[in-house]
Amino acid sequence: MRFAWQGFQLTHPDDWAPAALTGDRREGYVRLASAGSESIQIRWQTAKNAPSRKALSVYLQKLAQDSRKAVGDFTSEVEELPTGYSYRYGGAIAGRGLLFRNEACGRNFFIEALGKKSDRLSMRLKETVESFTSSDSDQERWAILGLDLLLPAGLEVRRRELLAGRTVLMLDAKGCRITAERWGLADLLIAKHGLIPWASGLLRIPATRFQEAEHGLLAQSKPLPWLHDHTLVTLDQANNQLIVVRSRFRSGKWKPTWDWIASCSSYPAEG
Amino acid sequence: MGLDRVVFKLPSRGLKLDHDQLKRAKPERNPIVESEPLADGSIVLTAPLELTGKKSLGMMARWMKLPAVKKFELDPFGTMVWELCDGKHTVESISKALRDRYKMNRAEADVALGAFLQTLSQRRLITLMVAKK
Repeated sequence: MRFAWQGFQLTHPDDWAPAALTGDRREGYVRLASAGSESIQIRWQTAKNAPSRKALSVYLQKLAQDSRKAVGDFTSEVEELPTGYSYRYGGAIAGRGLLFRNEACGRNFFIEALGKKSDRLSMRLKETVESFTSSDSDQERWAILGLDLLLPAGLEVRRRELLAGRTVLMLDAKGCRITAERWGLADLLIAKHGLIPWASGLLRIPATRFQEAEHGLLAQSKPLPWLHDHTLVTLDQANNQLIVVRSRFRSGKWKPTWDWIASCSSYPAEG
Repeated sequence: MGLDRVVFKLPSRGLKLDHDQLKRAKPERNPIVESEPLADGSIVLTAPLELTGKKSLGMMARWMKLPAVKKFELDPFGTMVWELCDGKHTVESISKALRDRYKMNRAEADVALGAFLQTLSQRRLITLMVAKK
């Protein structure tokens, strides 16, 4: 499953889920966890220079302190690479990580697989790093728990809700607010309500305002002379989910198109 | 802590289950609850209510002529879970069946199933059979 957040993306096993999401594009932290002991954590920070070994040493010292309090044993190794540092540690928990700089977006990243000593952490780290990309283009991917969007760059997260069967992401930019929702169990929802009545009830838009469009339903209005309100609703049958994208905008840059929704677009799946 | 682990903290009634125990637990329907299928694939459960208490609540229930049964309507999702609560399927295998049928991800299925089993358990419609450690 794809996870894309704050300008970077990677793939993780389908049965993993985000357990922590903090920060913004400049600096932040994400942890993706399995049902067992394994997890992946990513830290990022905008910086002018490549990451220093000192930063890594401080981090490992902190881990060592915590680990010695818990089990009294901690070992770590650091290896210098052309692009940064690779490290591993073992103690109360074990970890394998990579610290590197991505010049394309001007950020330093920590990517770390952690879990029990018996977990296959090296393989997990390798898979994660191989799928990891980060760039600074005019389009940015946002993907979390099946909600997969390709939006113009420059958005900031205002609100998120990660509930069972429902994912909501509210993103802001100057003169624009985008609200994207993913609803699971689409077949049950449509069987019970019908697509237009369901969308009408959810969005509080009169059913008569929805019109059939290329990939689903489209509703457009202009609540104020300078403000547009466009909504796209689509059924992603392959994943049995409904995707709703609503944009309230002033500038045409933020007018939603079907290409914004990964399941409706021709954007390469692994792009 | 994942969302599923939060929801899996079911009301213990004195018994504390850890995450792994709960995944291996086998929910079983209360045999006195009757189910009646509806045309749309959902079912209605009928559970008898206890009106025979000797104390004030029982007396009040009889005096107010409260119905002797309580009905619960389950949607197709709930119906599928109910039918799998046969004492043979574990919580983990029910979650897997939901993921396959409704294309849910693991966290979603676990959370939804945990919340639903909690509701059924609170209403005494099911019992969770837990293996001894």
